[in-house]
Amino acid sequence: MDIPYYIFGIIYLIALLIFFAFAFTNIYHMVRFGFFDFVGRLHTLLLTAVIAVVLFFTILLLKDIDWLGSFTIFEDTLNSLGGNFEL
Amino acid sequence: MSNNPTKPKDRIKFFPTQRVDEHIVVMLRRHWIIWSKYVMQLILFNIIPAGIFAFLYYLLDWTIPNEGPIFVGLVLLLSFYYLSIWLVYFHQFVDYRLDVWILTDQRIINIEQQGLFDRVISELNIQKVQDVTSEIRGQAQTFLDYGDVFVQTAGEQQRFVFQNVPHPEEVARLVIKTNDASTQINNVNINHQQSPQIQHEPSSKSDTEIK
Repeated sequence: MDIPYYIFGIIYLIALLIFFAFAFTNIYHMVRFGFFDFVGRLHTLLLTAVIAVVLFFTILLLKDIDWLGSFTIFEDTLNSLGGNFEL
Repeated sequence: MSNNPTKPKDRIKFFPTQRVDEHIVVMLRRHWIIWSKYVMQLILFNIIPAGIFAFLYYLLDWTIPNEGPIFVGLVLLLSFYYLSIWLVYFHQFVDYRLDVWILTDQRIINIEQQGLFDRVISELNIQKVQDVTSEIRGQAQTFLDYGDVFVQTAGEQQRFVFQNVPHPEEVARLVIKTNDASTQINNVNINHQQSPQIQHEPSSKSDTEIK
């Protein structure tokens, strides 16, 4: 069975959307209710920096991937059971 | 980070719902040791993937090809993992930061963040304080001087609890002192309002003396 690489990307982007929703909510709470002082600002900046660094390295590592390409799973396993499968 | 609530540099001068003639005596948050637990958890969770990979690489000679579905899946999984643990830490920090107890010369304000969308704010008139108890339990609390302060009230919410605050005995004394001061000021005001009526009452003794 051929699975395109962009499936990974779609799942990751959905997870990222949920992550940003929660991150925004937490930052909003900190700014709105948290007496937004030096420590609060430092932590908000730290979170933003970590998000930027993680996303940067993710893109760096995956920039050469052919997202429109695909990979095959299960076919070799099924064939080894004695059949001649093509999915 | 100093935790002495009475040092001038730790005094916060204002908060959002403060009244014009209201002065802050002390603003409290939970002791920094509570926050440090979250930091240690964060450090541990950051190290775990590196430890696993080091184990697989050095002991089992396992390497990851820099292409293919395993590599892509692993990179995206790790990316989401690190984003998640840092977000969890930030949420714990926000929860720690938003739990505040404010003692002013007029009231006690208890602000508690319970989860992401639950926020409970309780206020108590300082003159309704009936009893104050401080508790320090265990070795950690004894050595680091933090614990709970229980404020018994005559209001609808009968008990306020300051949880894991630094210098609980000193905080309890401050609450009592503020309550006493507020009660004295209130009594002075009442006497001042009553005194003009007393001055205008005629004195039979003085009439007798004039004659």
